[in-house]
Amino acid sequence: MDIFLAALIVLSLFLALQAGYTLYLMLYTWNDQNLAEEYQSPKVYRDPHYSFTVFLPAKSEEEVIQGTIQRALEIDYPQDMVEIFVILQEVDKGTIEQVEIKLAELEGRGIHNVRMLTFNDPPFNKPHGLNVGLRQATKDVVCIFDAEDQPHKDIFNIVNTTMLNTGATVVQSGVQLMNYQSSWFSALNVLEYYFWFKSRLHFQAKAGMIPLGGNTIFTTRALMERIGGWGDDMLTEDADLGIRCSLEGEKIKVIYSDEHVTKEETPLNVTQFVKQRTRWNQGFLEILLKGDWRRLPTFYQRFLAVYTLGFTFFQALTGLYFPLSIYLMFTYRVDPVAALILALPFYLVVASTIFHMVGLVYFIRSHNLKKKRRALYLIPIFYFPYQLLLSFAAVRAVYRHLTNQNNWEKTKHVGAHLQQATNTPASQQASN
Amino acid sequence: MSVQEFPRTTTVLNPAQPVIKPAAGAVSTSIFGVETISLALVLCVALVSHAFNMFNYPLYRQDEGIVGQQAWSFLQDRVLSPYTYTYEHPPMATFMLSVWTILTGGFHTFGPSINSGRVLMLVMHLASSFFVYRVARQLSGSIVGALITGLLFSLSPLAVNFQRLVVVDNFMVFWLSMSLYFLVCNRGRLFSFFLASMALGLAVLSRETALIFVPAFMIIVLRFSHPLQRLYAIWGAAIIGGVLTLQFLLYSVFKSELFPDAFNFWGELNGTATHVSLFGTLWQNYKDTKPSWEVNSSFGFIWNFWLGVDGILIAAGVACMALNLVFGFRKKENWLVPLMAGSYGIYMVLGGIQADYQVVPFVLFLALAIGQTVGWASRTLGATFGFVIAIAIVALSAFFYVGQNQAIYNSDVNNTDQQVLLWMKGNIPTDRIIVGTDALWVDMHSNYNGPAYKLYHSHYKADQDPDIYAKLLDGKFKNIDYLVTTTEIRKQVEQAPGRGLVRDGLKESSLVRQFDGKEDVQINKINNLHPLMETNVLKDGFNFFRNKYIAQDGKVSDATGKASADWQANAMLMALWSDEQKTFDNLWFWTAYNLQMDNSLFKSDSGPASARTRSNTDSYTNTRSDIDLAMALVLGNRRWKDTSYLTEAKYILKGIWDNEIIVVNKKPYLKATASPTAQVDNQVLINLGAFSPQAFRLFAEVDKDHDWMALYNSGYELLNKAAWYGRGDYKGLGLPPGLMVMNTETEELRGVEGTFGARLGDFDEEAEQALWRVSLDYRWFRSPQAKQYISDTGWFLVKYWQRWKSLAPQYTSNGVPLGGSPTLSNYAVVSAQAGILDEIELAKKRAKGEPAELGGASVETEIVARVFMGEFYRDKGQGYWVNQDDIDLQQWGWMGTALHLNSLNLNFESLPARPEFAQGR
Repeated sequence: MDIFLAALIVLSLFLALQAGYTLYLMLYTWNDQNLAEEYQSPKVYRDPHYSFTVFLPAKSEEEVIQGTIQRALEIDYPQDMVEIFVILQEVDKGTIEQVEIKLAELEGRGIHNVRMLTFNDPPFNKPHGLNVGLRQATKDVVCIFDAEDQPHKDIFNIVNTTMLNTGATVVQSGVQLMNYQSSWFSALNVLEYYFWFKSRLHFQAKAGMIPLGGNTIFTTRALMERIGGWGDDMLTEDADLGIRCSLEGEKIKVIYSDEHVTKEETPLNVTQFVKQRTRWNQGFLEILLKGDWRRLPTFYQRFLAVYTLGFTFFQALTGLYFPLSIYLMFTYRVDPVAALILALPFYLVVASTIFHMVGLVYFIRSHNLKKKRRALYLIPIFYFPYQLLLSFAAVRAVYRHLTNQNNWEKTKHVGAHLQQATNTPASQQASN
Repeated sequence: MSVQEFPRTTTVLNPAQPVIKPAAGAVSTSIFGVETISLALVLCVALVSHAFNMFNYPLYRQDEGIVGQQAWSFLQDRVLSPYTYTYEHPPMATFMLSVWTILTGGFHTFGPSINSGRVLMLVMHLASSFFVYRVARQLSGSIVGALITGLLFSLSPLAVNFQRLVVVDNFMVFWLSMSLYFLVCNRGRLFSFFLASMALGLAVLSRETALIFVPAFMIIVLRFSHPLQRLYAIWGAAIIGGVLTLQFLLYSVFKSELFPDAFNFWGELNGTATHVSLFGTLWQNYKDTKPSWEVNSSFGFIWNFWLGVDGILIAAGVACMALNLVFGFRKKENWLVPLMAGSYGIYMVLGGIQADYQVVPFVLFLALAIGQTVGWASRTLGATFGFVIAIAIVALSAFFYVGQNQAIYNSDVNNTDQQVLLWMKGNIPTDRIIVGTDALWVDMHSNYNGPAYKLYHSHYKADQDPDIYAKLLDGKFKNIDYLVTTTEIRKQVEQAPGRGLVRDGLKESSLVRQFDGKEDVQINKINNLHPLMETNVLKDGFNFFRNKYIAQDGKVSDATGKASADWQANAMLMALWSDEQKTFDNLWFWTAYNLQMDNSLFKSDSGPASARTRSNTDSYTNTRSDIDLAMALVLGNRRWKDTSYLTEAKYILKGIWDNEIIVVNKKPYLKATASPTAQVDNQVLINLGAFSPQAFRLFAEVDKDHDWMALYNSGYELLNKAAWYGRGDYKGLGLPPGLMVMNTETEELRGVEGTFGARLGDFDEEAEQALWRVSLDYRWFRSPQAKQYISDTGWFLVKYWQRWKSLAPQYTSNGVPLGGSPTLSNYAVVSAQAGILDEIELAKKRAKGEPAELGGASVETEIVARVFMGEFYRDKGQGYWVNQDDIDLQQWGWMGTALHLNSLNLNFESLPARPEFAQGR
């Protein structure tokens, strides 16, 4: 057996293992129905105990910011236990103007717990804005909603109950992209969120190594102050926060109920998608190189950290291997047994594709969305292009990192998920 | 905004009020002890019932041998079969047995290779028993039900008898029971369904029959999975099972063996297919299948056999399945067994059953059905009733199943196979092509209990596999040397002869040995030798000898340059029987010019710087060498019709009579040498090693001037006398000495260093020479004297070999082995004598009307196999025995082998005309 074939077999086995592990993480919650129920939001709420400071960091969000403020206000919780900070750069005049209009309106309605915070000191990014907010916060728990978010109106009750029941100091609630048929990639993008928040994060939380999400993340203010707030030099401050909380040994609870998720939209187009994914990948890479994860106590936690943060490399590798595998498929003759081994990753791709289709069916069912068979059938067609897109973003992230391009590529929001035709009360509410 | 307007579905609790969570997966601990005891009992019964006597019962099957040979082939050569892989069965069993073999340290850790497989089956049965117990426990909800299922699955003779067999169906049952376990005992885990599917996929890869369970399996997945995971369970199961099954298909695709060439499916049937193919084999199997309703279907016969073995289990199991369905129609647990059993039932009715051991999956379902019913009864009627049922069934099982089927636990039906193996390894040379039962394949190919036989082949493949019947055997049964057949094989080759090689071979063969047992095993020798192998041994041996030891001028010498009349004579005989006249002539010319003296006799050796010393008549001669040289010339005349050889021979014969014979009391005796030193006063040195009765008979034909038959008779008389001399009570071992001294007046004998009348000297290499010549006398002339002498005296050395599997270079006259240089003359003598003794024994048995069988292993073939073949090293047309630097070893290796191969014969007339013959060789 030549060295090339041996290398291919090793690579195939490695990719198969990696894909198998990813599938395991994808289906982790479905594996055990008892566990799945445990990860649901509580059905029985306790009396309000914790108070909440909501951060609404925004940049050039003049089109959606008033709606975002309104949705934050509509969350059911005693008004005196909630404060809402809209955080903006001073130069973002358009958004500031819209916020001022909204604040004036709220004042007129007797609502005084919404404030606008502006800053003009660098770095001009989200984590810095959040730290500005943290310095002004007065409530027990701080949380973040992004400009396009549509948090569930029970979310504070859910988090309050979860913190009381479990003693958790960090609660990550589900975030879900909803507009699964906006573009060719949106169904797959939606499913990524679906599997990530519904399944994988539970596993990671249990393992004690979790990269937190960018919003609908609730942490006690005391904890945030103790760990020094968000890393304002990080591209993915949320993931960094997760690692640092894991290092602190904080009890982190992830909850996901289909009806309580914070709804978001997929990027508008491929360019936006690639930019967003590049930023995330680059952020993960940054955290990986930062090396805080080395201080995690167990080997498995460190392995999981490398696997999660270094996934960029796996994706880049897969992207590079793809054209080579196509070429070899038609030109390279090998022993039948070797061929069977080399085909292993392919079966896992097929399995992953089918599980994505099944996932979409469950997603549509659980959110009572209109069934679009077309979207289902498009998954196998676009599964591989989507993976290539991810690989491209991964390669791009590595390239940007190597060339020191660390500027924030912002994702544009138009509130597409709010127009999603659904028959759920939440969506009806949103469309109103 | 009202902050207290919670949804109606929620309840508000006080923070201090704890939330009471339901206990997940709570298990009652009150039955834990009983549960453990019950499971332990089932496993103990499974262990004892399967392990006890499992090496001796049931009979080693050919199918077990096939699994073994495939594992052997996989481990040795990384291929799925030692023959063309026909896709008859998927390879999972091969892989499992291979891994097991590695883990347990080889094929023979437990004795014969099939035993190793049977231990694996035991381990797998224990695992299956655990799975089946847990499945029954879950389905019946009752410990009693699970207990009954576990006991039936291990005690029914249908289970014990067949689950011990190392056959692919039992590998399938293991995976199938594991699959059921993950299906039923999944505790709501999605991945359990995946594991169940993986196990079913491996069951399919063990035996393709498992595909029949797939529809039922998918229905069960649908019924047993939680609604929130059902789609994942179904699709995941389909993908995992599908991908695993697909591997078998893909393997054939990658080997371009999915379809027959040009989709000619009939080619598989009529034997014109250019290569094997998966679908071709499936098609062939389908064509061979007869549904149960057709005449001559195997189903009816096998079904009746099963009913006879354990009809109660079958009747009770089917009845319980019906009961479970009727009374528990709505419960998914009651559907599982009928669905699976029904699937297998359809397979059986459609003609899928070809072998009795295929009952095992059915036993599994029957036991589960009975367990479910008993469990239901136990739950309904109470724990006491359940306990009573359990005790009753255990007692009845023990009484009926163990008491009525004692053969399973105390009979030994596999001893015959081991006798056959030992006989073959002791009697048949390793380079013979043997075609026989698959059950012995691995044991024959390995060094187990003797040398490896790489040319042992499956009888089925000899008739079916082009690599064997066409390439190795050239389509001719004559190219087979031995056939090893069981009653079953002989029946098979009559009913489905394939190419007919084995069937025809059996007709054209002689029964060498028969072993009686549950299945009679016969060893037949095809009525011809294997020409290629045999001639090549002698040819290669002589090539080496010629190239290394015979100089251009015909001198035979070792590294020191020493030459001797003995070496020259033997080399001439080798050249004669190798049909190399030019070599023969060269050898003779050198001998005549360099060793022959004026009295026509030969100096016994020349020394390194020999000069022509024809006039030196005082030189020491060796009577034996003189006789051999004369015999070589007489035979040379016979072979090549050249009378000059005979002329030369007659001079030597005269020289012998004039110089090397002494007449005592009117009887001629051979002196050891012509040298005057051989006789002092009335004492003469006699060399028994020179006694060459076979040569004397030849000389008598060509030399009428001398009374060679007188020398023949006196020689036998002296030999008989010397063999027992000086013992009085005649209780010696019949071992004569080589040299001795005779009183020329009284004919009294003494050893070279002893006194007259006492025991003679040791049995040495010279004495062996005498016995060798006596053997040739029997072979060539069927001499009664030779026969009598060998009958009387040959037994000691044969028994010595049988005891020690080696021979000493010399022995004292009372049989104590002595050291000395390694030699092959002793082996040549003993193998020759042993062959004659066998012949005599068989003739006696024939005369009495008894079967012509030997009482034990043939020492002749054993010595040939171990020494002459086993110690022959060959490379590129040349070969040598034991040590290439020893001339004597080469000459005796060649002679010993040639005698066994019947190449030392006088039948030169039957040889083809010389030039063509020489080229043909």
